[in-house]
Amino acid sequence: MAKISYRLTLGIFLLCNITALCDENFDRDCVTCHSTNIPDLETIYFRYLQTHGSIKRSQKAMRHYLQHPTIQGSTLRPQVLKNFGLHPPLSPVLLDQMLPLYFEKYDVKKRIKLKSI
Amino acid sequence: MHESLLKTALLQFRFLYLSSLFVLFMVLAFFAYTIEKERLIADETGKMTLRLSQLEDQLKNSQMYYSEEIIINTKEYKISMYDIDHAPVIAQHSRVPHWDKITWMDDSTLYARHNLSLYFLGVASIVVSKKIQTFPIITRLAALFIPLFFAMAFVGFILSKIAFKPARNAFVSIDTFIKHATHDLNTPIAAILSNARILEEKITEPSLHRFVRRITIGAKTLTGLYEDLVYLNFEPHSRIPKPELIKELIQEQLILLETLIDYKKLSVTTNLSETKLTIFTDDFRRLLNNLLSNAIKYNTPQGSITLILTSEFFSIKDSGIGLSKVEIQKIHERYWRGESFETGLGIGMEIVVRVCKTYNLTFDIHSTKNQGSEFIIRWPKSLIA
Ligand code: HEC
Repeated sequence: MAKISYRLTLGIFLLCNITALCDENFDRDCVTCHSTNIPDLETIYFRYLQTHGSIKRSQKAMRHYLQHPTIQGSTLRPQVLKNFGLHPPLSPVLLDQMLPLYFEKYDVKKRIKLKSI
Repeated sequence: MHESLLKTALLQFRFLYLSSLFVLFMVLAFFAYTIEKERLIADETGKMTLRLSQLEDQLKNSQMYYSEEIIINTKEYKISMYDIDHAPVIAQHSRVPHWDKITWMDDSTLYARHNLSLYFLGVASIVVSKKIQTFPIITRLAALFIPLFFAMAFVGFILSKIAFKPARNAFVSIDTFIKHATHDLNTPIAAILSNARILEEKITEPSLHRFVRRITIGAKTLTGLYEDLVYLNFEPHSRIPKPELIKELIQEQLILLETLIDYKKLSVTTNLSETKLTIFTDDFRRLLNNLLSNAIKYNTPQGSITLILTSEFFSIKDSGIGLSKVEIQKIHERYWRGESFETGLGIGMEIVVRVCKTYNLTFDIHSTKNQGSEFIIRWPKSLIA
């Protein structure tokens, strides 16, 4: 069942992406897929930060990966990749729009609060 | 006189003791301060390391449990977090950390840095800092060293008193001895003089007069010495300066020393003005007596003595053996150095220098070996009556 719903979303997504019929929308373009399925975007965000050490580097690495997904380039466990297959390659235009929104949503800088207690 | 010398010596000793004690304590305090400060820094560094690992744990946990908000307590330390490119993730410090050091001091603030091996929340390194308070160390050291210093100073005070006691006693007994001996000199000298006078009258044999004359001269020289000793060792009854005709004092001395002058067959030339100086008579008596005695004593037989008194100076010139450069230098040194234990000058010169100092008189000595010497004594205008 999960697999079928996933394929369906993928189909819609690709259609949208290729025909450029829809407006850019982070929730629709990224979250729909990522919420129904395992690798959720928050985990991925922290994973990238933890391995790359800075927001800038993470964003750059992610951008590169999402354009040219390979098994070696992934930060996720091979098991996950086996289950879902590689990421559908994304266009630079879409990434330019989405990545800032993505990073804005989970921004660590907004989470850490310094307080004198 | 001795008493005051001893006091000066004791004072010098105490000053030296206190100052070296002070220097020693300053050095000790400095070392103690350095050590204490290092210990404090080591202590604080340990605490900071602990706090740094706590912070790492906090980041790690918040990542694992997806906390919406991570609250970091900055009560004790200022905290900054940097990513791998040294860009601040969140920073309380305005200064850029020393990336080549783990701990460092800046402006009396201690900093410690920790590098994370896994970059939780994109944080690669954490820096904490705390101002190091050295004032408590200083007060602690002061509380220890200042009382100790005073205690040591007190002990030194007592010890120096004890150490100087024998010296003081010796001085006192010498002083007493000199005073007694001086007193006891008076009667025998007077007896010799009066008996010599009687002898001189009674003896009819002219060839024997010579011997009696020598006894008189000897006794008169002793009188001079006696008077010098009295002058040095006994306080005068009153010391109220009065205007005195110096000319009269000179003539008085010439009469006193007449026997000696006659005996050496010296010719005395005088040119004395009517100058009056406001002085204490005894001082000038001793001054003149000693200058004149020296001029007689060191003169050659049938030599000459010239005395000149103007309103500005008094000059006494003899045709004697003269003074060496070393002797002149000694006299000048004595004048400038003030009271001292050993001078090497005779009692006579000692008194001359002392009187000159008391009245601010300046003196010049001109001397040629075997041709004679001249003493010129000048007084300040204020002395003139
Ligand atoms: C059709 C579903 C689908 C959509 C739409 C989608 N993703 Fe993914 N995404 C996946 C799958 C499946 C994976 C796991 C496979 C992989 O990582 O290559 C994944 C993994 C990722 C990863 C992890 C990459 C890695 O290192 O392995 C990132 C980052 C990511 N997605 C970002 C995005 C962003 C940003 C968008 C929106 C522009 C987006 N995804 C839209 C399905 C999707």
